[in-house]
Amino acid sequence: MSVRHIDNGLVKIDKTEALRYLGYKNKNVDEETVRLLDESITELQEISELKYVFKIFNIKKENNNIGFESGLTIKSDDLSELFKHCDKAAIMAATIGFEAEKRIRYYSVSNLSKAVVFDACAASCIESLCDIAEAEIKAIAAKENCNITYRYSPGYGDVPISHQIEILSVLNAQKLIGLTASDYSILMPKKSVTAFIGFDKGNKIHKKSCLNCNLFGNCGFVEGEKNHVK
Amino acid sequence: MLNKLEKFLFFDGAMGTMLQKSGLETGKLPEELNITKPEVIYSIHREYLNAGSDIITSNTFGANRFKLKNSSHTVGEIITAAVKTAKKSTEGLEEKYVALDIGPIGTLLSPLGTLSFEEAYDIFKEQIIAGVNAGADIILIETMTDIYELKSAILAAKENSALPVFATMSFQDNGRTFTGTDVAAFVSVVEGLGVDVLGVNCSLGPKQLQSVVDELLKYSSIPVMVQANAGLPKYRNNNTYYDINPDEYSREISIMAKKGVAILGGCCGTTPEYIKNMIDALRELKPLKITKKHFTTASSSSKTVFIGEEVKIIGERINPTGKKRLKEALREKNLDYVIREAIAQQDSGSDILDINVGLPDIDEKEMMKKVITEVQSVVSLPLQIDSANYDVIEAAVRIYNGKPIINSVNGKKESMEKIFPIAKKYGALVVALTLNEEGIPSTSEKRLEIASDIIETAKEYGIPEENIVVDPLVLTASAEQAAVMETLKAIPLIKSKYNVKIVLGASNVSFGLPNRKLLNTTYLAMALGFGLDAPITDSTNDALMDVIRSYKVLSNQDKDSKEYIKAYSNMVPENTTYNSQSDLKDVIIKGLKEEAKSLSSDMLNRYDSIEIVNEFMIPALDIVGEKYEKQEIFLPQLIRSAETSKIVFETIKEKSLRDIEITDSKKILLATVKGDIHDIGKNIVKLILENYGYKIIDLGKDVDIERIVETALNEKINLVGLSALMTTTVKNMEYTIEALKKEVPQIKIMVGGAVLTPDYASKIGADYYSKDARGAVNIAKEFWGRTLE
Repeated sequence: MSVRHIDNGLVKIDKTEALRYLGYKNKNVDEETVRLLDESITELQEISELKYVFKIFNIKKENNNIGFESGLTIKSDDLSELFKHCDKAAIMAATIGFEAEKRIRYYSVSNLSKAVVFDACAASCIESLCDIAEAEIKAIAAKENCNITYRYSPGYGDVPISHQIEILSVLNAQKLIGLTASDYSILMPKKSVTAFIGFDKGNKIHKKSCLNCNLFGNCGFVEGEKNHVK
Repeated sequence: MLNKLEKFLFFDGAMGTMLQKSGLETGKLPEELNITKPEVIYSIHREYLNAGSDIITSNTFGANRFKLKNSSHTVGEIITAAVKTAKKSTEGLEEKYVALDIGPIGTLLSPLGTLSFEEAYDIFKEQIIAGVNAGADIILIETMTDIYELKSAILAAKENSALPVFATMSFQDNGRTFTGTDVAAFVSVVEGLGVDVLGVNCSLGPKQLQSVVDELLKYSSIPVMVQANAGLPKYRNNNTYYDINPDEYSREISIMAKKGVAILGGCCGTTPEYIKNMIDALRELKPLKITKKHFTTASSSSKTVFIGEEVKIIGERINPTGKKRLKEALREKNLDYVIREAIAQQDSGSDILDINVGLPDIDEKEMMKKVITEVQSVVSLPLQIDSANYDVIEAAVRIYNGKPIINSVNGKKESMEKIFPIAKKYGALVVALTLNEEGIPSTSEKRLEIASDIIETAKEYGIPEENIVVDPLVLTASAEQAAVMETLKAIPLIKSKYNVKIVLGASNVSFGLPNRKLLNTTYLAMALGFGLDAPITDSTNDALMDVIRSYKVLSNQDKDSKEYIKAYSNMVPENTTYNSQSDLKDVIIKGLKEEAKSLSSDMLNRYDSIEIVNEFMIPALDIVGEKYEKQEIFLPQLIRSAETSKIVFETIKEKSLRDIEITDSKKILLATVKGDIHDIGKNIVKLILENYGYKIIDLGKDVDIERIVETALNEKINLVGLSALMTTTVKNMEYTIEALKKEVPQIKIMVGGAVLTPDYASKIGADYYSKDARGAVNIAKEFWGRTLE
């Protein structure tokens, strides 16, 4: 088990990414929104509590069940396909903490336009934090001559989101990074992520694509509009 | 065992670490081992007892209903087995105790999560009753990170057992728990609730915990305990280990013991070896004597206000007396308005907010609970609960998150008999009014007499002086001019005799005279000079804030005049007024929120309110809507325009209350469904719909199906909007639609949320699907067949 508290300065909050969440698609961004973005990023740098935890497991695959050494078993065609060449996988959980969440709630009441901008920046923040976690996992995999698959989270494809509580328990995430889930598998703090990352022996380069997302065809954030078939 | 605390008390170390050492599988419920492998648990307890532990902890950390959901054993079975095993391990040994271990539930309470305070209480109650019946000697509530959850656990322990209660929280290296509670807030809350021992455990090694321990000792008047981890977790060859050895652990623990920590043990990574080493290291030491601290505090979950160190402002605006808009908002259950008042006070410098929702024709208790919960979910200030009804006060302080202030008790026998037991049980600070059965006295000496009577009676209930703040009561200068100075003279008189702080609601002084502002500010300045600690006043009133800010400079409280300079060095000139007709449209389209208020006030001199709405507001919003659809502007701009337009609307409404009633027939009920706490999208939809004149009944997030149905029936709703963001909660959307269609057959339902598609929406029985807020407006327009014209 590895637990990290990341210095806020190390996480880059990507404005372009935040603007994409807000639907801007690189078009005429107004001055006021830019100002709100800058303000939100500064505040997030002050108040975020960036933490992640991960653990690496040997995995067993049988009839599209992926068995992690800890006792956790995931039944999924999609994950089995992704982990075709993997004997090991990391499970990770990351969060930016409750202060950001409290700030979003405050702005939802006092300044809703700021709230949506802040929310988008917080989303970009957790993605960047996951990238840092992923990079650490990638370095471990490289030592074992493996590449890594992309991050696969509960709720993607046919991986049930109902595994959240078990995943948090396997990682002892409540004690270590303050991350919990509700009965409905909603992570709390909301700006948090859990994910599986496979150690690919075949050194295949994995790239995430909109084509294998559940929301494909019903999503405004599709990257590269030519792929967007409706 | 705690009576004198002449020697240190030692807890055991980690259970989990020992289970791992015994080769038992991790990741499964370790509590089931109490039933499947009691001999392993027994021998771990024995090892700790042999190492010298005085208190051993039952293996019940996660033995609650939530975590045992999928277990074949009940909470009662597991706790009974665990406590019995622990008891058995102490057989034949003198002065050894068993602590019933209670950890966090594993899911969060509202508003951060979805569990209600009462549900949390019930979960803990079940554990405590089982533990008490099985023979536990102590209740140990530990590793808590949410002070609200901890409060529910302490209440469950105190109300269902007579055992000593020990409470510890885990702090991060920034001195706060994961949910934002700092040490001062923790101590003020749990000490108030009457725990016997408080402290810190887990999360960090002893070295990193030293600063947290310093804070604990600074504020606590009761014994402090520490159970640190054996350093920080490290990972090697698929194994977690902790990075300090028993000698290093003992060295840090000795430092803590010398500072005043009296109860010591270990958490993650510690073993009998650590405990034995620690006990040996402390053999020559004795615990320090605990000194009483005398801070006057009120706190929320994340903020503690110390009254008496410098002037603190108690915001008075949430009180319907004489406030037309607030009365209306409370009758309509429009909590948005109340929350905005709270935010305005927080932003303008209030330190504490008074909450009074007493109106003859509403259910005050329900409203008080609702307002407190909602205000606390957004504003971080401590609250002062203000009611004439004792049961309203009790219900409110029970569900309050933090250490509240009760407003108020007075010198009447009945008042003291009712209020003091509540204040004692919940550890509240109490405002004492210097009046009794004979009324408000005319002299300062008589005020002191009543204050003495209240303070001395409070002591009989176990309430210390520092938990009383006295309000010496102002009389109006127009009616009782000679008495005005008596109130002020009472301030130093009372303070010279008791360690109490003074609050005062001073604006009554000017009642019935012209230029009230002048009298109010002068009187406030005088009162501060006499030693007033916390005026109950309006922080959104610049003139009063001018007095307070300048007083803080002149009394050397505002060091280097920092606050003062911040407030006055960048004063901007008054807004210019707008005259041209096209400006309001322009202001809305550009989303110039700051200019909307003065401009719309100004326009009311020339247009009537309906004209402003129909000729300026609606056309501007239509233009904004079109631009949004054409992707010329995007979500933040759309919302900004909507907020601007809302300010215009509110301004008009304020100026002419009757003029612009919205017809009740265009009511829309909005809710984020049961289980879902993602409500930002719903809030956007609400704002935009309000802009178009629809009356929105917003039930919030995580809303029970029954409540939606009941409200739809009671309010005669024809159109409902539901949102859900998760695949797991869309199911509840379906159930809600089903229930609504059954109970209110004519009702129409629109739905939205990230995981929904038009197809799926119709599959679950929705009449309309909208991808965004703009779409919701179109649906509403279509539903009523025309626009607001």
